[in-house]
Amino acid sequence: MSIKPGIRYGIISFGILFYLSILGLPLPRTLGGFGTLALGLFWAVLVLISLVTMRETDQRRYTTIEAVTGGLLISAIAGFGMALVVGLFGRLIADGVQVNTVFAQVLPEWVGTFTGQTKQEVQAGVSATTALLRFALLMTSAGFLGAIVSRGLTHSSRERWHDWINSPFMYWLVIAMPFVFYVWYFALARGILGATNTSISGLVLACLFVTAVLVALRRVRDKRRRLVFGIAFVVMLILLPQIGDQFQNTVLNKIAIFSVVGIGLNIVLGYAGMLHLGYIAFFAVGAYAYGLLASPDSYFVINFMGGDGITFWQGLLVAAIVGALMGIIFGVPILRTRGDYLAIVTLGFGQITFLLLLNLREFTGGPGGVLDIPPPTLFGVDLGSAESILYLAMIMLAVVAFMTLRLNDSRIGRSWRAMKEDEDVAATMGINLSTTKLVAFAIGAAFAAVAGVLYATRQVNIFPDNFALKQSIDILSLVIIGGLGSIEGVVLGAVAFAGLPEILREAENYRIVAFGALLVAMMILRPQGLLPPLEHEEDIDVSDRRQDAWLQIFDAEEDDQDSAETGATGTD
Amino acid sequence: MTTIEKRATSDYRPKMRPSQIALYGFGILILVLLGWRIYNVVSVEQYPIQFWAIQSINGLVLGSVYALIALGYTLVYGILFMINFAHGEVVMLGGFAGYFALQLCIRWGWVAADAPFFQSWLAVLFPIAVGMIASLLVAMALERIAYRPLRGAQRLIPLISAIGASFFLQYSALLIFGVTPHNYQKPAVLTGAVSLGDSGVFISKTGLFIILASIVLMLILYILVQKTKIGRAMRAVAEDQEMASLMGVDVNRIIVFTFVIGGLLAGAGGVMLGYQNTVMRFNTGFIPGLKAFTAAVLGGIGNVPGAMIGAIILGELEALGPSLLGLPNEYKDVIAFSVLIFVLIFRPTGILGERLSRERA
Amino acid sequence: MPLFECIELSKAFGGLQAVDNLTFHVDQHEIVSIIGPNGAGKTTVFNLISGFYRPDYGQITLDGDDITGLPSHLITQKGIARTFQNVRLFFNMSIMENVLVGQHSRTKGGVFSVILRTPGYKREQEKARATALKQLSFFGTRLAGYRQNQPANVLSYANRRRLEIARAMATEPKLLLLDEPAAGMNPKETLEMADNIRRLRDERGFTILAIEHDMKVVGGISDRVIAMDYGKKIAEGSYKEVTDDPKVIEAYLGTQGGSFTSK
Repeated sequence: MSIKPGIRYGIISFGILFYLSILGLPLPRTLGGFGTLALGLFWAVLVLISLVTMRETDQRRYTTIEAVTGGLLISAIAGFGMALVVGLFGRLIADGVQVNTVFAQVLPEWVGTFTGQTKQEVQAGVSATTALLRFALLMTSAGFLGAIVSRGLTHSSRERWHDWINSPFMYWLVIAMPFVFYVWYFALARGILGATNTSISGLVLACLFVTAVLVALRRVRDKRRRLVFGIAFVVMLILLPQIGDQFQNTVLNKIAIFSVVGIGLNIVLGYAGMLHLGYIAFFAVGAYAYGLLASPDSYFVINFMGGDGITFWQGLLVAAIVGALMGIIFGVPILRTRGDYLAIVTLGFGQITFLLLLNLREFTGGPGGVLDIPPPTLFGVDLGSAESILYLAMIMLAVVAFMTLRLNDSRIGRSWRAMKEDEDVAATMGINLSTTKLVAFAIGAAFAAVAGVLYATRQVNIFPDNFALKQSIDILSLVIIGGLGSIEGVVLGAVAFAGLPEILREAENYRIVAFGALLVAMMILRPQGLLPPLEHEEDIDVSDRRQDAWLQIFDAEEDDQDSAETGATGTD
Repeated sequence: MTTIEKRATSDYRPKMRPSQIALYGFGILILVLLGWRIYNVVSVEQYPIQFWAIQSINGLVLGSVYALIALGYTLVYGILFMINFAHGEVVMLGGFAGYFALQLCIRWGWVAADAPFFQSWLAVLFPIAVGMIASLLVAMALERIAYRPLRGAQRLIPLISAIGASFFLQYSALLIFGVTPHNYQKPAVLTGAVSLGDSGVFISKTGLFIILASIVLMLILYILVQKTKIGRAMRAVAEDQEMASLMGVDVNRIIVFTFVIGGLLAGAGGVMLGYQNTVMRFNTGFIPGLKAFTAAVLGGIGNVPGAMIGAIILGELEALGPSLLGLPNEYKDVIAFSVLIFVLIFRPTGILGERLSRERA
Repeated sequence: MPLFECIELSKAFGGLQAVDNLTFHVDQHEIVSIIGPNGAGKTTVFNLISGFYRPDYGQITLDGDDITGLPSHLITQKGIARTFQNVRLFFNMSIMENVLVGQHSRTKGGVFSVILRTPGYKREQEKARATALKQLSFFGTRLAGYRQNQPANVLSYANRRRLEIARAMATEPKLLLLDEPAAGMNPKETLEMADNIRRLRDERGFTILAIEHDMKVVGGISDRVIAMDYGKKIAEGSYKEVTDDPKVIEAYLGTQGGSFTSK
């Protein structure tokens, strides 16, 4: 029967809606002036919940009537519950109770979004029973819809869905998407579509284009086609900075820079399997190394270098060397620590670096940061524009990705991955764990440091706050959400973590809440990330895997070749 | 056979590896340098003895709060082998719940300077109780939603989930409760200070209360873990989950129970942080959580006495370290983390830890 | 002089003396089996030899070199490779890669030669690949061929054990430690494994020290058998001598209800 799950999920749904609402979603200012959008969102959430909970699974099967009952129960409990809460809050506000000393976002406007009243009406305590009833019924309709739609989601429809995803139509659609977004972006930027303020929407298209390229490259398996489309995409990427305006290029170069950092962390974490929570320190070291040796105001430049800082290109070299050295110096003490201990010690290193940057005022400028970091120049040409930095960042990304791919498919990469899977066994394969770890640290750190140089020149002024623990967690999350061990994944993660904040500027705090929830959900539903390395996704022969699962259950070890010859023979 | 017999008379005790000798040499060098520096600073600065006494009492207060929080980390680690990265947020939410309870007390007139003695104490204890309950609920929800589905997964996965939960809770609190700091108002019995004889050493009443309350709470925990049936079951699960479940221990229930205890202590710690700092913000729990975790690692994570010792050491280091080394106070965190790293180099499993070393092979 | 020697090896965990004053040797081209009831300390001996634990006392020598207490990777480089009782492959790496990892200490390519793909590195990799293929083909078509680029976790249990042995062979050891190579195999596979172990010695020239529970295998392959109980050596000699030894019979009867066969 569906009564019990209906009530249970109804209460859960009510909890979710209540939580979302006290986060402040219904406030008009949150969603760009459209408080009612939040109601639409609530409605959609209810449709989704009733759809998922009432659908057919291996364990349970509801009749249509049961499903509708369940769906209605879910949404009615949530809807009427919310109406009750809103009514209560409205009454409290009308009585002059400062509800917002507890729930900061529950303001008269908040109630107004649900009841359709103005701020003054809410404060005056005008009754809104009909409006709330209407709201509750609207919410209840969501459950009905969800339950009805769930009838269509049977096992066979899931298979059909799978077939459809794998159909040639979808194949070509996926390949076509980058071109569509690209042309759209171009048209928008050139004003062909007539819109005036296109900065944000253009950026969205550019991000979608990058994402679509990553997805398309993954879908194309045929070598020759890969080459053809690969070249096409590369040409498009080369021309990309020419299309965008300065804002878009600034965000895109941030994405590229963070991709480089992510690839570095990916070596340490994705390949070598060491959870480094202070990785941002290497990024900071690169940025500060260049900043302190190049900025005309820096202590070092003034006192030791006669006012002449180093150039960007020298900075790259210095940062790579200093970064690698830092990786080794930070690495040596933690060679003997494993797992969680490694995580906390590296977190400590990250914090120490941050605190030193903050407190060694004389050398690093303290909270005031390093200012006026010079732009790169080449033969006297200033390369400080967003566009040129984007080019530099793309070149850097390409070089770093190339190096990483080569390292991964080599004895060094194999030793990393072996160590990640089983340190003890890796050691019995003759792998020197200490050097293997240090090489991973050094390379990962050098990548981050080099990216730091570019970041410093992009920012012009850098501050310790650019390199706080939060950024470290951001980079960690981008690598994990993208897919550990996969370069496409890292770039996708960078789009999400460096691009989205710029798009959703107003809603930065909501973004962090959403990403926190996303991290949890990803770990539960798809721990390998959005774009995991290919061999984990599809190359595995499913039948072999099934056979293996069967073997593990029965512990009756039968090689498939043997069973073909002799038929099944049981053991013991 | 003769060769073997002949050799059998020689000594086969293991020798130190050169790398170990170098490591210990390095450690001794650092200790000597530190000692030298401390000797110089102390002989030059000539702080009065009262200064050191007051500072170490401050360290003790700080250490007590860390200990309450660290126990939550260490209990969960002992059983699930995972870092409950969101524990600092459990602390913070407990602190917020305590804040709202305190507001109620203010409304009831319990906090005012002229409130009767009994009610004034109620105003101290009621927020702590509310904070404990709130933290308990958050910790249980956390376990149910973010950790239970991941049981048995690779160790990295629950940790990342915990990091996600931490940011989710932290920024939720920012949005729900707003950015403005919430000011804790101390009830009458916690204002002022107590003088220890006529030595010139003072301890704030809040500090004294925090130390005593922490000791009481930890004693209760000790009795719970050591003497009760559920405590025995807890230790059994920590020792060997599979075996314990074969013996009829409901492992799920024990894990929830562990989170409950961790949550209760965290709630108390959160409210005490509020009394101590007199202010509550969305990120109040994060850094103390980090420190408490550091303390747990320092003592040997998974080890209950270790967490307490580690917390006290860390608190003292933060209070005394900067003055001893002649550094500005901002360096207290640098000192704390450096000591953590230093300890882990020489004892990778912490001061009292041993379990990890046996996990090999 | 024997190829491999353990002298007065001892290791205690807390109060438990896991290995107690154990002395034995393995000669060149010999197959020696260690038998004993569960918990007799057999696997601990392997862990001591391969450097997972440091012995409390005693000496281990290979070819006259003292290797006591060396880190695992150096022991492997000196020429000892092992397999594990509970098959520990790199399951997310391909079959080929598993064996290539075994070649790690026999190759030298550094970071720069890897990134630049220098001719020297290419040559070395060609060679490593050829060696890996040779080791895989030791088991006929079971591991080689179309499978070699699939991840190791697609393999069946018996093939996992085979791959583990191939991986150990790839480190080019002088002494091969096999920890229960036939555990969990069906009778047909067990026979084949016994045959394989003999071939390892006869065709590839390895010296082998094996822990085995299955007495048919032990009897079939061993030149010499060492019986252990409570960390001590209780008997040594040919298969017949050891299985007839009253102390051995008592050790098994006392703990396993008189059954000589595995499980």
